[in-house]
Amino acid sequence: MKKKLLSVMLSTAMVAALLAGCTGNTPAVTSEVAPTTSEVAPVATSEIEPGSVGGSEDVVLEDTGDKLTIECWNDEWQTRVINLMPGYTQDSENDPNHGHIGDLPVEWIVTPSDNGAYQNALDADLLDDAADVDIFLVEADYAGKYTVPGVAKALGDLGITDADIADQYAYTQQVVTTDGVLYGSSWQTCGAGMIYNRDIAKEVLGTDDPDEVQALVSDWDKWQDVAGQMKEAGYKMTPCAATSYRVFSNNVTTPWVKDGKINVDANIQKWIDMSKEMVDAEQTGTFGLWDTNEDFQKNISFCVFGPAWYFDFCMQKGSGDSIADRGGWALCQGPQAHYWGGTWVCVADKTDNAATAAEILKTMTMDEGVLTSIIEDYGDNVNNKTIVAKYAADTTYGNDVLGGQNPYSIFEGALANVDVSNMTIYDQICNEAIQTAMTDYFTGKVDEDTAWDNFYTQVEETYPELSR
Amino acid sequence: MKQAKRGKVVSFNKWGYIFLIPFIAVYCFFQLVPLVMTIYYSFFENYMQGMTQIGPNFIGIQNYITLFQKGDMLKYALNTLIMWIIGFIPQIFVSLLLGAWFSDTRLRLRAAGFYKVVIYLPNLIMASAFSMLFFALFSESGPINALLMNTLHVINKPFIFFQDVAATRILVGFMNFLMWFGNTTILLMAGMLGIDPSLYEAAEVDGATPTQVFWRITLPLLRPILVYVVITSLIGGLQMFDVPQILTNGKGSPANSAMTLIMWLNRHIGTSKNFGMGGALSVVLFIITGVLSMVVYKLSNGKED
Repeated sequence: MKKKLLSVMLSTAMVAALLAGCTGNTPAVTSEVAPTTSEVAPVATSEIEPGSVGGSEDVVLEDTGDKLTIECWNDEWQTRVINLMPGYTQDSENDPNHGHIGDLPVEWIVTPSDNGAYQNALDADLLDDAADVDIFLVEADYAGKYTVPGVAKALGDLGITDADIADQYAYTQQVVTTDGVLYGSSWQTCGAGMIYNRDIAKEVLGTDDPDEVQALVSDWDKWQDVAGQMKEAGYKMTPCAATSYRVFSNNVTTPWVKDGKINVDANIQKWIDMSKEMVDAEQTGTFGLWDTNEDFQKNISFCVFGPAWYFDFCMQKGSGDSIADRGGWALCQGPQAHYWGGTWVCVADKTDNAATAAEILKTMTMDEGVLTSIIEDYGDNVNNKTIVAKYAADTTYGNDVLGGQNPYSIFEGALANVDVSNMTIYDQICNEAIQTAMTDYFTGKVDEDTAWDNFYTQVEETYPELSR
Repeated sequence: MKQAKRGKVVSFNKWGYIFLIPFIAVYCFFQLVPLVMTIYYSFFENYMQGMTQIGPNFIGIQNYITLFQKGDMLKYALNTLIMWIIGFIPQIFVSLLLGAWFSDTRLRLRAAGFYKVVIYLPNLIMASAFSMLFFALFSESGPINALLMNTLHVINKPFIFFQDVAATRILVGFMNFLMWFGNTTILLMAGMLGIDPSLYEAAEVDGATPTQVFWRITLPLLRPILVYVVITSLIGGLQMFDVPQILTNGKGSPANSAMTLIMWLNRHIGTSKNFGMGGALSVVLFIITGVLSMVVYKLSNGKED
């Protein structure tokens, strides 16, 4: 009898142990509504008056949590924090994801952004009361989804004053402003230009001087003429069709979504037509934007389009024998002024370490010393008009990747026309889906109508509230 | 006395039930409850719009209607089936051959144990790691293209495997084949070793050739195991996800031709957390799996009826 009792107890204990693991984690999706105000409409940023946070330094912030959690999708900002944030120490040299600020442990959660994976991971953690999120980064493509009350903290509540953000560019504030409230801050601006290969320019165009090259590519017709010349000389114009995508997509005059319907701007169609022509003429390739490695090593392609973060982050600087390492690139405005991307820092509304989180946001995106170091160390373009003006006027400053050229006045020019009023929270998936679908059209796998079908299907599957 | 004895028998049965408790409990909690919940939620509108939860609102079978009307379910089902067949045909062929060789006492293969381990090894690698490896191998500037261009001189510019429908599907099928043929071999071999050796001896005495032995003795007697292999592989094939997902970076490219049903499910429950549509799709998959299993099972037992 004793044995029997024992075995019953043992098996019950076993079951209990198994079940214990899943308590408190019910799979049910509760009807609890996420804390937002009204219906999420495409962010209408046009009516917003940027520049005021209404905050004061008297706000009292506290650290109560036992660790600071930061969510991001790559190591761009992570490297900057590790190297430039005063008091930040890394726990071990080989592990960038754990560190300390003073006594407070810092944990980085890095989820690559492809297919909305970063958004999915971030959503889960923001909605899960048990998950710790203090700081998260957002991209322009979907910033509006997170810059709402209850998700991100208003900068005014973080002790940030109007004086702190006075030198920021207005568009960087519009992107993270909802109903007149500012929810985030960026250290960078992303005015972009055409980055071209000096060797190829000299050989084919007879000059590598930015002004002279600019005159040859000042509109898309001229640019395509140059593409023809490049082809004759045995070079590609751009590594792949996706290279020029952002020049068109960030110059649209209508948003991706209008009244719940997917809307395609004329400029996107222009990119499709031009790219198809160029692919057929073998002036450009069709592989993914981030697979263009050889093009940064050897003289294969004439140009790429990119902002300042491209130099340091994407062009294989520091790999030893890349074109960037020998300063073989130069910058001009290209056929159309544009901007590309940008990363914004937000403090989660549910942060339990508001003091440190606010300190990091303020230091890393507003501190003049840190921003100057970002220019000096990373060649990035910073979100501070005074500093940028100083560097733009500095004739002794030159970027190594660009063979000593000073890029800041060109970036300034690109920023003059930035219009973020057509951003929606659906942009990331739309931008990814159109490039995926159209690549099949460029390579001749499907006709254009089928490619459009595939695009609409993917967007509708991702966002049930949208229709074509 | 008699009653006491019977009591003892019953108490043995009791042990059976007691030992079943852990399984039943775990099954209910991790399988049955989620299954019922999935069916339940498939009748609701329930997704995220931005950071706002929409629903759950009861909408009857609207999700199912949308699924069949709007979605490309047939297309994705066909993709899944094609990629499964590409992998399964070589898999069953090679496995049968290897199984026959390994279990053939007259062949006396040396180091059979070593080979058995080797052919099973691919299955031990995580499918996603395996996919990453293939992605790197077959990428535009990968070693396969370098080999074809510089060493073999078959092509003069890189062949972009992942933009070619056939190439992508064949790669997915090939990877599934590589990962699973060892497992199938072991299963089939177990079945072959279970066949009475006296049958083989009798065949040998009667002068049967190895081919005749294989077709007339091994294959018919192997049937139950073979059916099991087909059913499990088919169900596994329907759930094909990790290999094509990683290989095509979740896009199912080119032109959605490598998009499987589960990748489609994943797209629904990803960004918008559309549990209603996801649930509906899961229920349909559940029914398809059930029906397919029944069909294969019935066909295989046809003789006995």
